[in-house]
Amino acid sequence: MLRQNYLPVSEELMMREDLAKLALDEASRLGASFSEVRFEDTARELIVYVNGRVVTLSFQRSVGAGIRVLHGGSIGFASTSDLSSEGILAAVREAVKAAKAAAPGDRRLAPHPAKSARYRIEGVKRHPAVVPLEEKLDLVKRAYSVAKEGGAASATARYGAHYGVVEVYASDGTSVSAERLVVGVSAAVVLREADRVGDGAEAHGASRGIEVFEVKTPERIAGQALAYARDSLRASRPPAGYLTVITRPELTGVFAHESFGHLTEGDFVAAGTSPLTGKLGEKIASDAVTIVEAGFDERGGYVLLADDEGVPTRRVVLVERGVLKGYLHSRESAALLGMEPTGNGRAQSFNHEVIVRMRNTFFEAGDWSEEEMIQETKYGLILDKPAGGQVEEDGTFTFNARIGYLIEKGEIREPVRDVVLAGNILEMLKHVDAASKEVVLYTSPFGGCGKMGQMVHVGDGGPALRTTLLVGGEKR
Amino acid sequence: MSKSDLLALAERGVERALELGADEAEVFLSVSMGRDVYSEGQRLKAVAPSSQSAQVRVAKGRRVAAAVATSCNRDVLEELVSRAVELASKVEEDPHWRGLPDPEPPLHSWVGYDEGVATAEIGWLAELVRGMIDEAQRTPGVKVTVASAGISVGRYAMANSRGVSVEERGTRCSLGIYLKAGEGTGGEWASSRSLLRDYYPIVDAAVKQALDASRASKLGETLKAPVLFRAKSFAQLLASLLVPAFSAMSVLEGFSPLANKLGQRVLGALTIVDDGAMSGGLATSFFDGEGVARRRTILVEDGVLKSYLHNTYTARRMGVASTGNASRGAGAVGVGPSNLIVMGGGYSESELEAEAALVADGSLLSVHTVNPVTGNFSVVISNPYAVKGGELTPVKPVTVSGNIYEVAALIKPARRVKDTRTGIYTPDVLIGGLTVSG
Repeated sequence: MLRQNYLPVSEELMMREDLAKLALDEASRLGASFSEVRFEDTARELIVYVNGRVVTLSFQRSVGAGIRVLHGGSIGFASTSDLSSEGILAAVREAVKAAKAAAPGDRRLAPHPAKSARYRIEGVKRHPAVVPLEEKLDLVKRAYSVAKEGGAASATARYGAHYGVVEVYASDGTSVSAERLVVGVSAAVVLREADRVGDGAEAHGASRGIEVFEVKTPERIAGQALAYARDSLRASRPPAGYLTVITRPELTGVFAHESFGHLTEGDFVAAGTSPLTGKLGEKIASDAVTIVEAGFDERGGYVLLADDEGVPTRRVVLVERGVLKGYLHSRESAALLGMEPTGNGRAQSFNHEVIVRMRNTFFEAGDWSEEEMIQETKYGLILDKPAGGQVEEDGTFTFNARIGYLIEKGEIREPVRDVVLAGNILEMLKHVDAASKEVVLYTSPFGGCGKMGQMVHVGDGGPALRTTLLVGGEKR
Repeated sequence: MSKSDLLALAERGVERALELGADEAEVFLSVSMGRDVYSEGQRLKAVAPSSQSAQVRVAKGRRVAAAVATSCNRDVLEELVSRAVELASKVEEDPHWRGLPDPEPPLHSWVGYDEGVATAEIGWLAELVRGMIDEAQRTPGVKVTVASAGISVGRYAMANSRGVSVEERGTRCSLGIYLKAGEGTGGEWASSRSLLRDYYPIVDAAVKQALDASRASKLGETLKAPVLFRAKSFAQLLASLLVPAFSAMSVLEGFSPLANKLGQRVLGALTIVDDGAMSGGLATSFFDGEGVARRRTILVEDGVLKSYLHNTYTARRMGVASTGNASRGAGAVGVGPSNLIVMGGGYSESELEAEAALVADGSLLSVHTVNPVTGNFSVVISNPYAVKGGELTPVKPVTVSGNIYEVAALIKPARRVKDTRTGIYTPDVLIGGLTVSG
């Protein structure tokens, strides 16, 4: 079990304890009833290889501190990249000033159990920090070669990694450090044939070392991108209107994240603007729907063992056989609703305040096979390869598929491309009537989830899922 | 750190890179400070982020590499410079590399720096947010999701080994509100280089959207019909679908459908200009991300493609002058727009409304997923109105799909160019031949 590798090792020393003490003492002297310092020391590597040429080769180091204080019932935040004593003290004063500006308030921070711990991602064989650059360049060149040999008119291959440590110290005794790690390789291919253009993309990411690309090789990644591009070349726009849709696992993940996950975020629930506010225990979906949100899962995705408030990540069952069971919380949102923090308090960097964010969001398995789901569909679409999505606070959601196929009389027909799917979550989850047995989880160092101007790495996934959605396409 | 210190440090970084064996070097240093107050529902939160960025680009022969850090500290810069030089010795040659830009004077004199923004107190921003919430909730049934007011102040210094040595500063002020009325949502936001304090039009627009959406009914059909995009909605389509296609980098790498189309009619009746030298523009500056003077470039004139957006690399590779559109991010110097202006056409807004089956207002959901490689787009309109018998009736969100180049001949811009307060200046635009479903 992977879980055992992630047990906190509390004996190890924290790196910036003294600086933290200085900040916490100053905040207390200025009247803060709670204060917290979050140090970040992370690196981001990126190689972009386009048409046989390195377009980007960059190394980005991110070192600094974010300070949160509670003063007069209000929360203030400030950040600094100046880690001298003066720099930290100035940031503390800014944070207190900010909190005073927002006062008066009724804010609190919910307590959490693990006060002092260090979370390391174990089992990493070849950490990106120690793998030579030549080898990383080789990954993108290998992916590119496959694309080129496959007839790509243009091809982009990328390697990316994000890794490092976040340390959190707070006046309530919190003293936690946790590792961050995600690596990935992607390939994007454009094919041209006469006046037709086909495009395809594939990526593989994991909170692991570079050894993951020994199994999911750059060649396989580029080969899959080529296969999608070939289908895309002969694909038409899908028929528009309400249709039966089967989403493959990667697309199911975006459905879980966009259509549903965001609405369970405790800040929206506490503000009363989520359509799921006050619906705990209610049946909101069909029996085929179980949705889970976790800091890690053995089947893959992103690994987050403690969040940016130092709270160990809990596995949260959001929906169990159609019944709404839980929300996602930071210490702030949990306090507002009288609930417990779930380890969903996250920030893009030291320069950003913690807000409620997802980690890995996924539908759980059902008992169908994908083949059975197709066979029992008279007319509809099976869709793959997400291109992102979005949700509004009335529950209207959209997400996109780059490629898919028409299903007629239980059989797969011609490919379709660039499909937008839309619906209202409270109606749509009731229409889910089948889920397949195999769950796959995905993550990536190249992008993530955006909320309130902050981007964080996440994971998502699920089985193949069948439902009814509004499809944007051609009037046929 | 004083202004001249930052530039001196950048120049010192360039010298150090050359000492370490780089043939060319560029150092970009920036310092910014923000003050933001936003509400979660009605509860306020105040943040004061302060950030620095150091970006180093070096070339050894035709081998180019970059390193980036979140600090302008002297020691960090020293480490960055050596890392960049080391990376450049390991990467392979770029046969198309023709060097860093040469120095040139700015082409305009407008400074987008407002002392009033730079000195705005965080307490005053909190008052604005409270005012916005109170104003919005005066309307029965309206519930605020987020209201925000913020300022940012930034400056940068940049030097390269060809003699570029520039610095400038800027300010920005932003207001926004998102709210619900029943099941309907509405949102409006604005940014300016100067102080924004009149929030009433912003609140009014968001409230109207939400109230209309709360009484919307389903469209209930699939149509192939003309859609009138309101200026702010069209701006979102322009930014996601067309801007990437105008990038000379996309053209060179084979990701733009506009490759080899210079001089050809590609966008119907549209005239689109990129103008980084426009007085008062949200994206106006003296220089682009690598020290080239910002200027005015006609991209499309009466539908005919006239130019791409260039940085120095793409310009030299294509044998033209840079258009001053170098952008910076994550260590890479890319290509990005400045202020974009869509010129007005010959129609009034009411004439175009009469022609449309649907009016697209509010946000284009999923607009970041459109396909700039092909021009295909399929988006969801958050606040659409059906046009029936000259009346606008709110309908629930609908999908709108098409290919912008295939329907180019059916594009009609209205006469009045509006400031969308997002850096894009455009009239309402009618696009025919789109599939609408909802």
